[in-house]
Amino acid sequence: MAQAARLNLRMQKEIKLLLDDPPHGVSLNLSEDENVLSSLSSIEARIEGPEGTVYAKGVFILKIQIPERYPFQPPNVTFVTPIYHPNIDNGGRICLDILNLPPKGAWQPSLNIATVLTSIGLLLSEPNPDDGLMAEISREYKYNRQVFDINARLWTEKYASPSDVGASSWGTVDAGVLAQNAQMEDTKSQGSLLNASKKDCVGNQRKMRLLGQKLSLKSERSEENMKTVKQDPVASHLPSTARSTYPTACFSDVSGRHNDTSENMSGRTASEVVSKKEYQGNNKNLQLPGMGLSAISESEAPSKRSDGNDMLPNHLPTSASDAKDHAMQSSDDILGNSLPRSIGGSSDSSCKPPEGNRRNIRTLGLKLSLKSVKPEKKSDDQKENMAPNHLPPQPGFNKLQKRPLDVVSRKKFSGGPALVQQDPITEDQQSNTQMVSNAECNQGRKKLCSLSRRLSLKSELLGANCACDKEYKPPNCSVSDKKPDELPLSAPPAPIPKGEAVAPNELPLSAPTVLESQAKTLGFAGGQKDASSGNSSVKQNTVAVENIIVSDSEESEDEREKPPRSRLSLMWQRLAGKLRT
Amino acid sequence: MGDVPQAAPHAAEGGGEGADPNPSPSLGGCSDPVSVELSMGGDYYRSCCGDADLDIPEGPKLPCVGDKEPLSSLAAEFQSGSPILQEKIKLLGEQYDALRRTRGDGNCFYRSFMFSYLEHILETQDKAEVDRIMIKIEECKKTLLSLGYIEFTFEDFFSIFIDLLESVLQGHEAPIGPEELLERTRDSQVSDYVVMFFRFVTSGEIQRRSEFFEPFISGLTNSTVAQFCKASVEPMGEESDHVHIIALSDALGVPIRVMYLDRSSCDTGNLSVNHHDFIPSANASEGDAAMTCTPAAEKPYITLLYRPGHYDILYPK
Repeated sequence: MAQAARLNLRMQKEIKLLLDDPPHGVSLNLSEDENVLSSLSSIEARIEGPEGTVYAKGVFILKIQIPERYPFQPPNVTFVTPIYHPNIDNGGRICLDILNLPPKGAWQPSLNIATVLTSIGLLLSEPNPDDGLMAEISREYKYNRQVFDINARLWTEKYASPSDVGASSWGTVDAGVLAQNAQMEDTKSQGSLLNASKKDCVGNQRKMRLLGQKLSLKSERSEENMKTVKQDPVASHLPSTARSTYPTACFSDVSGRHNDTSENMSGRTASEVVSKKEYQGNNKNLQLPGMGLSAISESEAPSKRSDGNDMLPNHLPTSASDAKDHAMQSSDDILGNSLPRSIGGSSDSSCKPPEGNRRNIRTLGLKLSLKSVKPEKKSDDQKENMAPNHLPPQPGFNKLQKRPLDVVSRKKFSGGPALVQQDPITEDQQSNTQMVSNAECNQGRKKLCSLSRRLSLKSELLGANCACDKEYKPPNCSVSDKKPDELPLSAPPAPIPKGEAVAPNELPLSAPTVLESQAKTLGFAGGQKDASSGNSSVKQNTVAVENIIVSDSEESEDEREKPPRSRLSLMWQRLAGKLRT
Repeated sequence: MGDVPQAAPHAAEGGGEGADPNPSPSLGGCSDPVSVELSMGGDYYRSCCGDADLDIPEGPKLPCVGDKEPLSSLAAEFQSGSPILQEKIKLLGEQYDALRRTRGDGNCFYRSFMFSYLEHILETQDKAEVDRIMIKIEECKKTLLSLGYIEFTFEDFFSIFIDLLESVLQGHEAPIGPEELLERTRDSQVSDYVVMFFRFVTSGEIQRRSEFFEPFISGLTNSTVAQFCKASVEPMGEESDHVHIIALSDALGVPIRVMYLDRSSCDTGNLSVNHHDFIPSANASEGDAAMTCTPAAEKPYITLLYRPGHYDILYPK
């Protein structure tokens, strides 16, 4: 009691000091209704990125929790705002000696919060890569400083914008690992998407990627996303890799390592500032596909809760955006994970053979992100419109969705494309989407495959993936049964070139959708991981994932060349879902 | 802490050479600071030197301040130990009849000092002494402030000690008896706060007279005075050495006698228990000059028993 009162008194004085004479660049973060004295054991502070550092002009929110035995125990300080720093992990935890008790740390009761914040400010100015929490970032800081600087600035811009303080959290970062890089290029990529995508499939993809990143960023803000991220085992395990890798990838893009897109890239990089508005305007076309996806995503959300029946029709209008977010995020997570691994494996900065894969992957990420973005960014009106249009045309859609949660979510994925296929002419956009998807599918097929493999590998590594295994199984079976032939056929010899040839006009519009569908598949898997706990066949998992991905791509191809087939594939996917249930 | 183990191997020799020839109080610290410092050893002394017979109680098992027990319990503890120690315990028994153990968690010196001092005030009701030390405490506050410490980081610790001090003095609102004093000082919250009070006082004194302490410290840890205070004085659990005791004694103006129960012995065969009196210099601000003018008149009323790595309280007959 006495101790608590004493501590309260002390905290009042600490806070008074922070208010009256704060360390340079530090201020208390007192929210509107939060009385300074109401919660003395948990306070928030803002710290400005030190000038002349990569964190300059950023405003970072810190959460400071005061233990009961303070000052005998150090305060618990974490970064709420994501920051790209060798000594700060993806949960915002800070590796700083005075934040731990001796002998491991150097906390002493004679310190106070102001001194701690001062030290944190110093840590921002002078990271300690030799004692890094984040191995990849530390390595980058030590051996590839340029890349580190770019990434750190990117993060600062993205998450620590003074105009948007507190909007970002670590949860969002994980979800949007892929998307993060793209933010910069949103505007250009978007604009380019419509115009240039037709000509250059590759170029489009990259742009898409960028867009997706931006989009994902937006989606990040939703709380649900955060949860998803946390739940996603893969994401949690791989965060460090993913981050480091991701930035690296961006860097490579910027530098123009990919010769094909280097031109586009450079142009994009020039304007890093993203204007969401422009983006939205450009993307109207894209939105439609997104709508379909959103519907799907909605179904996912319900499925998690465990009542997947009929959810889609009812929820779509209202909750479509939410569902999309979930789906998107999960997919983002997966993609993000897979990307970093594949790319990251090769490492910090050198793109190796996998470049092709990378691109594909990115594309996927972009597409995914695009989907998510659309729902969020777009006004409610659009969403509503979208839902009605897509839903009605599909005859069996409701039925499909009625299936159990997992199934539903899958179906959604498949459903999106399926719908389009079924009613090809109904909507121009849909048709476009299909076309685009096909083209992209071709291009990304191999890439996707590689991705899926990588993903599967990851899943194997991670126990968390077990859940995925279950759900994926059915698809495998169905695939194997129905379309053993298609797989080989679909596999294109030269993935990238095909895309261009296929559907130049439609690519821009539809590309996102296709990607989205693929992404969803992936994302879905991620979501399932969270939901299900259980079992385990890693191998099956892997295979399943691969199959799914492959099937998607196949579908697209099939559509181009053999419409019936694509339908079949969709059908079998649905069937698989049913079987599962 | 980290430096103690390194110093420990030397401690055996240092204890023999340094502590023995320096029975004279006060001057020892100046004339041979390094060896004296080392002789203080640390918690790791035992493990390094294999002194299995020096059974120092583990922290968590013991209350912050234990019960008063006869010195015979100490003898029993060393029954099968070194004959030198047994002999020394016997010699101790000629002057002292009781012992009070403190928790061996690195804060034992401060806890011993705390209880011993408060108990002394409780028994003597020496109001003049309380007034005197209050002035000293005020000076310490000023010292810390002048060193750049923020007041709220130490005022709680100060106020807890002052509260305790006032409570043991009769005539104040709620005087407490010996049992209650024991109870309060056993409260780990109170005890830790007081320990931190002493640590602040010690740190402030060392930094205020950094020129005087600098040679001691550089011999001990190879660090600067400020680093030493940050690393070896202010953190809880950091053991106290000669430097700390000198500083605390000077800062508060309280003399301290430390009896050394180690295995050092004279070749002459005349075994004696070395002791060192830390007499606060009348004018500590003048650095080492202060150490030389020893007001030997004052006999320490606080007596601590030192075994390598640990301090307990001794009660004279």
